[in-house]
Amino acid sequence: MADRFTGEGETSIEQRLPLTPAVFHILLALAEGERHGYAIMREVADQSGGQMRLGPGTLYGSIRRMLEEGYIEESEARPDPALDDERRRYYRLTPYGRRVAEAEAARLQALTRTAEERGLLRSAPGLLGQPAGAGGAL
Amino acid sequence: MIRLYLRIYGGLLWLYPPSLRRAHGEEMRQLFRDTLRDEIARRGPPGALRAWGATLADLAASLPREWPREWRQARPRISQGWIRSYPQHSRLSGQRHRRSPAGREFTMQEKFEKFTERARKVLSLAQEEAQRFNHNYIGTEHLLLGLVRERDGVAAKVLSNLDVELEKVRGAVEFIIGRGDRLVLGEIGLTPRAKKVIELAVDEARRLNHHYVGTEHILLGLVREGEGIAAGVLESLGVNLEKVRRATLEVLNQGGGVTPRGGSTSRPAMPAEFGKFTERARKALGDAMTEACAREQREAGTGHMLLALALDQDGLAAQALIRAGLDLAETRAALEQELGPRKTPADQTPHGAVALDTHAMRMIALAADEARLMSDHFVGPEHLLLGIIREADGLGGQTLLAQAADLDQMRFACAQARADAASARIARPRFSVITLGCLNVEVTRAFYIQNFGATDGGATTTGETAVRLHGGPDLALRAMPDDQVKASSAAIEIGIEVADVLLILSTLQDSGVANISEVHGNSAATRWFTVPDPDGRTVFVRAATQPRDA
Repeated sequence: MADRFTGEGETSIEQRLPLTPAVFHILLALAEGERHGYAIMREVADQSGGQMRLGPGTLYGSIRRMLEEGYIEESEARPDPALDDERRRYYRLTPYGRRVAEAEAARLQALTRTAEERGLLRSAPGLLGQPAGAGGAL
Repeated sequence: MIRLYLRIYGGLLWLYPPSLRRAHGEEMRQLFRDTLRDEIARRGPPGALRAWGATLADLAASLPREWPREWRQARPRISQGWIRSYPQHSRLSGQRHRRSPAGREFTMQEKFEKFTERARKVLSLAQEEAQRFNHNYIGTEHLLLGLVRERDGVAAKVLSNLDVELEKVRGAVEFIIGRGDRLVLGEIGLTPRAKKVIELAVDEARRLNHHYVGTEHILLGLVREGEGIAAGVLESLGVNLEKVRRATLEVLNQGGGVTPRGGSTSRPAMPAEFGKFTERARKALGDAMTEACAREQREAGTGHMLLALALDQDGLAAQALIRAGLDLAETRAALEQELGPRKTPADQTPHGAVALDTHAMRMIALAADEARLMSDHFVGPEHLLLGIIREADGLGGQTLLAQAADLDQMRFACAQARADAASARIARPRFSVITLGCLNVEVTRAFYIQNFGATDGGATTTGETAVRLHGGPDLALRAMPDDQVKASSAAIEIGIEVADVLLILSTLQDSGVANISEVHGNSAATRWFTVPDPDGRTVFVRAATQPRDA
């Protein structure tokens, strides 16, 4: 069993997969740099072509879980100059969170490839609505 | 209207579990308001309806997820992720007691950050003991068993001095609580009392001015908590809590040294200059003490210090040694011969208290003086190196002198190493850079006002201002008086973000300027300025247009 106190025999990242869509989307949104909650929400909407709309409950429920799991951490609270002068909490990926996101992306890629082989997917579109061909077959 | 909506949403937030509301309620309200504002801006009044629709749907979807979680977690639990995201801390590098950014209490993860290997082992053993009894929680009694079982810890020594033995404690626990009838697998949570003990342990460490949390602190925490099963067990074994506390402090004080602040010992715990140490310098000092500790030596001197500096290959001090023409391996070998072999293997944390000897104390004072001479408001590894050579009588100074190094040459080497470090960082893409020399707030401000139309007090009219400190936390310039910037910063780099312009300002010695402009000439994305500095140094400014979330 994983020993959470000494880190011996720790749970492998694979055991944490699959991630829920909300968690994975948030990890993706934070991959480029730190963001506050509302910026995460907009980024997730953008990157999913509007399909994935995170409301406050889902977003912060996931954020809380991710903080506890050590995927993300808080950076300093500060205002977003583009919005107003209210202070906002910013979140960023931890190195561990990045590894988890990478593992999930690899898992999805393998899945897509299988779908392709079975003829379910013609030219594999990139993950999450990137331009077709970006994540295409090798 | 928005205000009314917000009030309604604020009411709806009460449907969520209290823990989520406490942690993120304010942010959720903020998010709702932002959504509302954006939707209304885009679609007019019907936008508000859309925002409400989406938010209510989300409420309905997320409530059933959050509540079961709350119930499951009625016992506090520590997630598995924490241990990996934190590096092992040397005793001194984690010296500052941060509060989390939002000013909340420490999270469990932050609490464990400073735990020694042995203290972590105790928690792990406590879990084992809980499982042994088929208990589905980790209580104070299991912590006590963990402490007894981690034989090498200070706590175990104290307990064994008091005749507290494993079998006796197990017997007492079984008598008081009994065994569970079902096998318990997986992760189990700490009871609120056990969690309290952990908090008290962290507090005990802080009170003793220790920069780590060891088994002894957990024991003190257990004693201070005083009401849990563990306290009862100890009582039943005829051990009085006051006795445990005294015995623990005795064992701790035998080592003397780094221990109590303002306590009864006459020796100062840490030199006053320590407050100005950079993270890196703190780490070096901690490493030096570890080197002494690993050799079972009670005092760390300049030899240990030089060894620690030479071992930190990327550090400025090591680079300066190389620049001065010394062979790091040779220096290390010479020191290791004098100091003798380590008795604790490199992968284990040695235990015991170490004090600084008189040479080392003098060295630190001299290092601070070197910093003053260089107009630095911080003490970094390079200053420590100069302190070692200036002190001259200690093992470190002797070793350097034997290798034909002298003070002036070393000062020059340090300046060169700094210039190297600065240009290496500047050559790094995307991050717009770092520099050399000392921060002069007046110059920053003058430049800022002149070139960007800011008025004095700068940041208030132009949005966000950030000061990046070398190896330190980011600070907001806006709220920071000049003297604080000067005192705490060291600011080898200052980045001021205004709209999409990132400004970096530094004072450099002339050689450094030449060095940097060679590496990074004028380009479309970068503009260079030089500004006269009242102190006669050259101030070097680089303004880069930085694409922000384009």
